[in-house]
Amino acid sequence: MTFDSLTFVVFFIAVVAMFNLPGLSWSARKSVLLGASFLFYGAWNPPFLLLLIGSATVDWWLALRMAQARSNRRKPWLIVSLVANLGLLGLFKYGDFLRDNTQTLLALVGIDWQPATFDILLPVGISFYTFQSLSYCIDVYRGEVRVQKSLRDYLLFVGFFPQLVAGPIVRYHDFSAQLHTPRRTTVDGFTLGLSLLLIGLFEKIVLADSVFAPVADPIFKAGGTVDTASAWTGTIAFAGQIFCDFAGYSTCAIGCAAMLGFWLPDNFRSPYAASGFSDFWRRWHLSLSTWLRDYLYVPLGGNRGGSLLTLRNLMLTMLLGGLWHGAAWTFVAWGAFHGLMLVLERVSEPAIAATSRLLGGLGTLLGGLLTLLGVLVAWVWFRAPDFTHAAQIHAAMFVPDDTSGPISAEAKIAWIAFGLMWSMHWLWRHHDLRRWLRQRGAATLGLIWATLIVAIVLSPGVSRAFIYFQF
Amino acid sequence: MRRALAALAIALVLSATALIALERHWRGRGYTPIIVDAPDLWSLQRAKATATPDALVFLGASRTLYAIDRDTVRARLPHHEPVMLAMDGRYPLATLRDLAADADFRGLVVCDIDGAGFAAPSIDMQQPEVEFYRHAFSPSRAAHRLILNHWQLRAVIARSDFSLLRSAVRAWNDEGEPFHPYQWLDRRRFGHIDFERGDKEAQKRELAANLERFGGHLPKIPFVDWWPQVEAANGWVRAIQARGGDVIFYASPTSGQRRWAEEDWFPRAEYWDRMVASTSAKTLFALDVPALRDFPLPDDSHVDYRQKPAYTNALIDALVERNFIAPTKPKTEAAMRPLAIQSAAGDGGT
Repeated sequence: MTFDSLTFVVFFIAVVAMFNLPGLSWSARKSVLLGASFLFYGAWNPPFLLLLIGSATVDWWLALRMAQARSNRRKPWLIVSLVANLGLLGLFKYGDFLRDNTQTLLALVGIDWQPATFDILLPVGISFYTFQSLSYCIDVYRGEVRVQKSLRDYLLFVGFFPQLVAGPIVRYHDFSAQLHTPRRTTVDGFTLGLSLLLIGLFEKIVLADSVFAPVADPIFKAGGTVDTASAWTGTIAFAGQIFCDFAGYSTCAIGCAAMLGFWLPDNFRSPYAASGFSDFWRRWHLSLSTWLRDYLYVPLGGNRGGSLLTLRNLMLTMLLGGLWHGAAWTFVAWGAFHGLMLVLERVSEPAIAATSRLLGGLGTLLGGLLTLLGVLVAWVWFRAPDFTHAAQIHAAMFVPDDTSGPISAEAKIAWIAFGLMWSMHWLWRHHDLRRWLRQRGAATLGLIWATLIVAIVLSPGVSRAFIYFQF
Repeated sequence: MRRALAALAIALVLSATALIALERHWRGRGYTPIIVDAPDLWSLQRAKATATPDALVFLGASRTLYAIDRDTVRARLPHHEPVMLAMDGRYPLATLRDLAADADFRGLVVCDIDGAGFAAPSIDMQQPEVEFYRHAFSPSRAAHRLILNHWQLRAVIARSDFSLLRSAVRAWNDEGEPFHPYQWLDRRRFGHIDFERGDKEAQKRELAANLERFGGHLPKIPFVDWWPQVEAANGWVRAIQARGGDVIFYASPTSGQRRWAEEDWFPRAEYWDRMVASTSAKTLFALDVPALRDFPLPDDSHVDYRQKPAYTNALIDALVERNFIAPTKPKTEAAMRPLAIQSAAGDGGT
């Protein structure tokens, strides 16, 4: 089920009503949420619900064993959890990728290997719930959280439907307190949640699906040729699409949770207003970047082993972060580019600091424009079907040609929408959306809601799957 | 609490006022609500084809989509459930391939196809919908679509022509009001064309322009390039027959210059008749049936919606007359045997 479907509207009204039934105990309300979460996930592909339950149950059991073991006997349980989770991800997400690359490597040394092919469907959201479950096991191993004895509560942590399929990736210590304190829908939570849900749906339905995707899709279609104008237009449109699609989902998730009395962490903070790549990763997909920092970068040594090791750790983290997004070398290239930019930024830190002091606010803006340029260049790898097409688009972007024709009205609207979005990111660079919404009066809020509702209803185009579902 | 209720009231009043005003505006300009075809609407019917044991599945392009009258089919063949999987402007072999690969499909397929439909570029025309059905359609999407049908049947503003973006693009390009469609679908995807509202000469002009572009003859497709698709389709037919289903290849009628152009493009003796000799499917060439051959086609290709019952009756008459389909449900397995034997012998009855 997706937030932008009419099915979800009916489903969510029923869930809110049942969750708030008078006389229902907290335990029963949690059961209602778990049942709703299973229905939400199962409505996409019922058999994969069993995979989700099985995978989470294994982690819950392993964590129990870990907690019962003496501290020097915990590691085997953690290794089993790592193997189980990463094995599951490997099978469903990277199986074909590994097979194809092994086949290519063997062919290079003259071995003709014809492996069997399996038509494996990727379970939606597997990267998200696997990482969430894995982080819990690691936290239990480290002794940072108390083990959850209730299977129902643990399944609710992993499967809580607002964040189940595309994040934010929630940490157990953030969620466990909410599981122990009875919650219900409050007026404040409902008002804030509805605002966020409508903003998220606006981002997804109006901007991502109606304005940006129809412009980006044809330009990134495999086999086509592009001129300079369309290469830039397609890249800008995709930058708008991926932000509005993914941030839209996260905003809906946070909004739905708020309407049920739960708090979920922010996932985006005006990322296109980032000045520098380290700043970008403090603003883009925060729940993943902090996950990678805490469970990959720091265990690799972080910045504790000297300059060269720090740079290596940065690169490794970003390479694996790229691969997390998809089983293709183009995603690895995307991650490698971001890693390289982070490395360059780190080695140039004194020069950047000096320039910033010299230029002040102008330096921040200049840094922001350069960062945006880099982010746009990297999005081409992220979106292009292969390196050949990515290279064509990059070449068209930076080697001007005289074949560019007039751009369509749709493309012009996409440019204007991106420009407005970029301006909004700069204006909101240091603002907190939740706090801002809480401070609005009834008239302003009513006007915002009405505008969003009208725009959403009047955008009945083709419904596209959320991009991050495939990750 | 007061702030939330006031905000909600303001939002509901403002948004309802704006949407109702827009709806009234477009209705006042003569627009009516229509069902918009989409992969999920098609997938609902595709799922029905598998789930219904006595499904009578109509494959093809616009000629079948807009010509078959569901009520007539149900009245004449009450033991069959008609399912419409034809798609406007796209030949049907990808869907036939998908039905063949579906171990649970046991229905009867009426596949409207001509020589061009077997050409290599036509094979995958319906594949995007098949992919959607296979990999993206879900119980949730089905429920979404069923609710959306109700909205589209009641609101003009549910059409993408009236979306914010399309309105902005029209204003930018100074395009004027949206096109008034003269063809529409019902929620089960059975289509209708009202030629009194439409431009029946447009299709004729398009064909004439194409002929002129290619010097009076549409570009030939060599037989050797055409034949592999026939062989593949024959395999799909056998797979469906092996499960108890069946396939009828049906070349629907044309008239005027289109009839001449199609015969010139894919001469029957060189293409269709050789396909007939090779296949275990039943076959029907509409021009062999006087009632279909002489059927009025305002644009030389499609049936006006007022004529749909008559056309459907003529088609069912032809199918029943040739024993391709039984007017009542066969009582026993044995009753089906003569049809199966005839089919296996490749006697298409053309």
